Amino acid sequence: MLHFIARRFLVLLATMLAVSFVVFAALELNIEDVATHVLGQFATADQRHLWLAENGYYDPFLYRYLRWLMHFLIGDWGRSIHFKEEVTTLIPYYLKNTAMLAGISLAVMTPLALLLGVLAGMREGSALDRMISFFAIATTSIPQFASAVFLSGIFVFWLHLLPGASPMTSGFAWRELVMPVLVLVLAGTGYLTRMTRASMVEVMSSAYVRTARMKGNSFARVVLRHALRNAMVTPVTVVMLYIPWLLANVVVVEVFFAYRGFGTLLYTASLQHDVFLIEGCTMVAVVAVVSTQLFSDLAYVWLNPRVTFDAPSEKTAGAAA
Amino acid sequence: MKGEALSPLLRVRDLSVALPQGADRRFAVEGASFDLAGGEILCVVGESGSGKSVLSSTIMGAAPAGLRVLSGSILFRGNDIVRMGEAKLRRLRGNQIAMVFQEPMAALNPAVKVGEQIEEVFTLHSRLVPRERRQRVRALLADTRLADPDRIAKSYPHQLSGGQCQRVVIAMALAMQPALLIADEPTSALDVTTQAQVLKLMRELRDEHGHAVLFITHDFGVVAEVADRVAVMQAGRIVEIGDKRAVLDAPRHPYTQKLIAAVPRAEPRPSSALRPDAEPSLEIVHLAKTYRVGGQKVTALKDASFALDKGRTLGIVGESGSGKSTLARVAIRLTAADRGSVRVAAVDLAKLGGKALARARRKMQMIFQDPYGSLNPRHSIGSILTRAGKLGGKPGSAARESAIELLHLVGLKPEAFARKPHEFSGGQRQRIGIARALAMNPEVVFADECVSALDVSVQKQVLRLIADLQARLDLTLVFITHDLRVAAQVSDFIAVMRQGEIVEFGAAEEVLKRPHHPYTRELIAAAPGRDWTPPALETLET
Repeated sequence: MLHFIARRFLVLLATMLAVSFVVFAALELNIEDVATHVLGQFATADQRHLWLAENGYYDPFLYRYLRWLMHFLIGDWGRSIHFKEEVTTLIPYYLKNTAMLAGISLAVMTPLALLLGVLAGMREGSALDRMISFFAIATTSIPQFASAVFLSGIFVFWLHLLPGASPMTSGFAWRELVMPVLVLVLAGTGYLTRMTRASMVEVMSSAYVRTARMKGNSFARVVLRHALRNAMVTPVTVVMLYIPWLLANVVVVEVFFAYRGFGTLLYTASLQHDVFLIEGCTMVAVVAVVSTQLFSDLAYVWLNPRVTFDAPSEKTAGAAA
Repeated sequence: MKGEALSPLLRVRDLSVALPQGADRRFAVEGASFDLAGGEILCVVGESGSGKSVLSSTIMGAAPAGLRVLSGSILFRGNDIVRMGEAKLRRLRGNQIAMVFQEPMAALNPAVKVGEQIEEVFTLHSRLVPRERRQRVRALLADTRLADPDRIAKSYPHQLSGGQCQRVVIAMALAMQPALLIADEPTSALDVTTQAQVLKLMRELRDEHGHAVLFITHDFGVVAEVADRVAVMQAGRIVEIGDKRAVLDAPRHPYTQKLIAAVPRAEPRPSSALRPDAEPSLEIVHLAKTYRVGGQKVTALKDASFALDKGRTLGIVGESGSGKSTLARVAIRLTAADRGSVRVAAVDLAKLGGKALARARRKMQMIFQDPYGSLNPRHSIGSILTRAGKLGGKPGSAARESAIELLHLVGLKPEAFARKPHEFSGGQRQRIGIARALAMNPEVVFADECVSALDVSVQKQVLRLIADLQARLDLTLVFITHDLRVAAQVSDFIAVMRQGEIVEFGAAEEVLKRPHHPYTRELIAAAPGRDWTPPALETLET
């Protein structure tokens, strides 16, 4: 178990290292660009040259990368050009807001999707199954910018129940959180429901569910005692993958509702060519993605006794000849 | 309760189960009537699709989805199961009627310890307190001759072998001492030695507890081993029912006669005269393969050596995991060997590479077990065979011609050329698989369990076709099978494998009649129904 986690941790580090290199190369390989972005379009060539020389940009690329990495490791992530603030003070604040938005969405979405998926999958082809499946496919198919407009139309402009923007300028407000959460839940629930349903259908047609029935179990008991845990393996693994999904999808929702979160930050940074902020945001995103992968693997092992931590049973019959 | 003493435990009368519209026949079970008395074992035997499994689940009050009981009655202790409500059925299931299934591993919940799965039966049907329940579970596991029942009870299904799992399933079924046990192909997924043990166990438990057994099987060897009475099903009807001896030794219905005639004889075929001039077609020298699973080394093949003359058949027999398939895979270099060499027609494959290897490899072809999975569903039979012919080195038009010829050779109509695999039955697909192997014009053909997925009557036809083609084309054949009867029928030589090792090799007659190695003896002793020799019947050819 410890061995497993340690190994995954090393993979995590290697991934981050690789990504950091790509990010750095993409943003800072062309030093003229960096100077333009930092000093603005109206700086003269001399000014740029001076700035580049001052900041060690004429050093060899690899050396610059390593120096950047060292600074990154000790927490010196540079200063945001647009916000005029340290990147390390900016990111936590915005990330915290997004974590709240994503966390609440996930907390609403997961039980809802699991419940719907189980209900649909326990009797394949029933009216309930078809209804839920239709709902799932329909909601997944609607892009978020469309559902955001649509839902705003109903709840904000027609019913006047909720505010149309969520900047939270005067402190935290629950009411402002409802719309973004609603849009995210609507977009994400369908897929997880379908996953759960498929998994449940498979389990319900398995031999051991039949055995359980033939033991004299009631249908409800078969579902609760025998089917549920086995059917949860796949969806729970998928839930973990929703964290990176949310990180990517909050961009649309946050920008639409003017919510001050990680998505808005990344969006603004990209628009403003805010080099150091983009670098910081990307690295944070990588950590989030890779570490949720680790948690997802752990959950899989925990739910499925057939998988153990230490023996990756790779039955690779060497296809090479 | 006078009626109960008179009427048998189970009385099925005129039972018909309708198939959904659009099926290939109207009834899954049609007009079935039979009685089953306490303590009796009735074997229901039939080929796939004969309705025997539908019959068994209908008796449990759980006809498969889409099927419904049209008429008739199933009286269990005088109560009609067909007209019973779900709540009442639940009290019966696992309590008075219990079931044992085909795939023991799959029949157990993978996420629950097996002890708890057995315990659940007591939770459902008794008022025992937890401590008593656990004691009973332990006693049941010991009853099914499982060593170390405490450890077994705490295990998950995947930690047990197939045989152990089936014992657990049997223990679970017998928990409440049911009056009727329904066993649906309970040993078909097990190895032959395990099967022998489980069959013995089922007979002994019947003797101890006196429950009736409805035993569904397709295997006449198993029937001969366990049955008191036999019912033969064909296309949903019970065509013959009677005492075991009567049905097995003097079948009256033509279908029963046909089935029994198709059962391969355990007699080895007389070995044809050796040709002194014959050159070895296939030589395997010190072949070895080790897999690494997790941190452990698994020896799949240990130093296998043999030579096989042109036109001869070697039967490789052994249980699952004995390395027989690995031997074939390594021989044709689907998997690289660790050590050893393979010579085909005196050419050493290990010394070849690139194109020369590709060419030489075509000299060895494989017929696979699963006739469904081994044909590309998107290609027509014609294109499958033509492509194989082209790979075998023929130009396009010649490949096409030979494809049509091959269809004829394996007994398919020329119309098959344009059709896709899904339009054919299992037996026909296996013929196509054979034709494809032959299209490359091979020297050696490996047949890996190529008839084990087929019904006995189809199996007989395919075996005959293979023998016929072999004689005509002078093919060298390596025939891998777990079934000693089949091996006896087709082989000149037999190699017995166990744990990656060839433990005995010799002429078929020698090995089967005068086995030297104790394991060979054990295998032969375990073959079900070996005391029964199918009667010589004059049947209409199919």
